[in-house]
Amino acid sequence: MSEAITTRPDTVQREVLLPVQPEEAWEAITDPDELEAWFAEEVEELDLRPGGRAAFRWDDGRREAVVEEVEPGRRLSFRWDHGEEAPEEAGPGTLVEFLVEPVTDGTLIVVTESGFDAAALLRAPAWLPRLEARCGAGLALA
Amino acid sequence: MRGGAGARVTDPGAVFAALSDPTRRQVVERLAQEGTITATEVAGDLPVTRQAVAKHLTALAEAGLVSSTREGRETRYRLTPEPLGDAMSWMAAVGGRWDERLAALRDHVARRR
Repeated sequence: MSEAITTRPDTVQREVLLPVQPEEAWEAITDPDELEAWFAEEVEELDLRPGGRAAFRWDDGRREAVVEEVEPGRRLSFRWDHGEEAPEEAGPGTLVEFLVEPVTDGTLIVVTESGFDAAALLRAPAWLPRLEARCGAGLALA
Repeated sequence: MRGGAGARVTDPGAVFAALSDPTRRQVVERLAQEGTITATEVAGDLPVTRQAVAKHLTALAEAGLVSSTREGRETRYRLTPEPLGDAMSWMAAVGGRWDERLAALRDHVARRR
C-alpha cells in the first residue's frame, strides 16, 4: 500500500512498448478501424479535434467522450463519462491521455487516466468497480 | 473534532485531495507503520512543525482516513483505511483494465505486421 500512496493517488498510468514507428502507433490509437481491433467493439464517433465528440460501444456498455487535446503523432487526450448506466452520483468522467514516445526499440505508448472523483466513489462504492468491469472489459480476454 | 471511532465520512470527496499532498502521504505512511501517532511524534521525524502536522491530521480526519482520541493534552491518531481501501480497489480495477487494453493493442499491432 505504501507504494500506491506515494504516487499521485487520483492517477492511473500504464505503458506499452510497440515494435513499430510512432506514425504507425499513432494510427493504432486514433484510427476507428484499428481501435475496433483492440479498444472497443464499435467506435461510433471520433472527431479528433479539441471539443470533438467520441463514442465507444462494447457488448455490455457505451461511453461518450469529448476530445481535449490533439497533437498529431504525439498526444491525444479525451474526457470520458462513466457510461450510460452510471447513476448521477458517479460524478464527472475521467481524463484519458495517450502519449506517443519514440524509443530505440519502437514506440512507447503511455496512458494516463486521472481525475477520479472520490466523492462519487464513496457515494456508490460497490457500483464503480462493477462499471469498470462492464465497460471496456473482456476484449483482451475474449 | 470529527473523526472519532465509528464516525461517518463527512466529506468523502476529500480522500484523494487529502492524499494529493506529499507531506500528508508521509504522515499516512507513519500511521501505517506506527499504528497510532500524535502530532508531536510526527513533527519529531519530519521537517515540518507540530502545527503543520496537526493541520494535516485534521484534513485526514475530515476525509475519514484517521480517527482520533484525546490522550491528556495530546490527540492520538489512528489510521482508518476503509475509504482508502475503496479508492484503491477502484484505481486497481481501472489499472487492470488498461493492462488488458494495452495488451490487446500490442497483440493487434503484432498481428498486423
